[in-house]
Amino acid sequence: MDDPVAIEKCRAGDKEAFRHLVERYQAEAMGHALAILADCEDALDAVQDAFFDAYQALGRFDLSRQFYPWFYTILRNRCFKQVAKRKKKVELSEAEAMILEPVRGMRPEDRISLEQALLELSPAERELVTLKHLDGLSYEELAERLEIPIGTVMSRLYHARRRLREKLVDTRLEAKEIHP
Amino acid sequence: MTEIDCENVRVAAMAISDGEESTLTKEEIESHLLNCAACREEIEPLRATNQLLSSQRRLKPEVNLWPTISERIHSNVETRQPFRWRVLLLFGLPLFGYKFFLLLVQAAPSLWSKLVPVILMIAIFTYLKTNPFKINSDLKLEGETIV
Repeated sequence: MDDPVAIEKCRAGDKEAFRHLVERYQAEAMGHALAILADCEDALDAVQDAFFDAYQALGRFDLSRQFYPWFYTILRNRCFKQVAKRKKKVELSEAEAMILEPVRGMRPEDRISLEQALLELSPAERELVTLKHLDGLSYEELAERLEIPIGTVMSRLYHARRRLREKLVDTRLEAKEIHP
Repeated sequence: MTEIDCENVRVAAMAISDGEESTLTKEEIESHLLNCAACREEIEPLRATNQLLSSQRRLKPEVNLWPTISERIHSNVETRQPFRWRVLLLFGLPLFGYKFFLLLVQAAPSLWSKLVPVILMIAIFTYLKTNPFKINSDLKLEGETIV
């Protein structure tokens, strides 16, 4: 079933049609929520809430657009609400992979170091860097997704990468030395 | 080279390295880099970090959220949102409005002379639908400059 067909069915009152959208995008949404929140439980809550919000807002969805970028706006709102609600800093788990999938040829300890460096960035920086590098979004797409001007994308990306670089040096993971 | 020049060059160099358009041409960046060791030292490690990041893939955890979401959709109850504010609005606003009206009726003329301009200003701003003070509410990261 195509997304627009599923959305039309949902609008017509077929609640089961929403299952198609949830099952198609839940893993991607969890990946994105984890990258922002760095916490499994919070990410799970945010994704569930975002799907529920999306279901309620389907009437306002423009069928000429793609579903996921629209849904992503709802998801990131939920994620940043979770961030704002937090009273204490999230404990970073070294054992559990949150953002990066194991890549062949890269040592697990190097992946963990890179992941730790990413987790030490702010949620907004982490979101930007991962959307750029792991999803391969262009500056224009990033500007659209994050609702900021392209100049701001360039500047924020530069500063986020600079901070990441500093964290990598702290963890003694020299990017030049790794050839995945 | 001034600090701000260097920062613009670094941001532009990273944009070019990402295959994007930048505010400076490749020639302008190269010419700056030839004369600026600080920028060369800054950009090379960042390019290496870029390469490292771009060789990674995002983790997409296997989850099955449909049972929980389905339950919420079918019950159509927003469990997380408290409804107290709605009750407060329902009863509080009319009460507040009534009390405010009574105060206004009994108020001295001096209060009216203060209230009327305030109400007029609110009405004008609502009509214009713009922020007359041009307050920039965009979030900005530490050390960031807008290009």
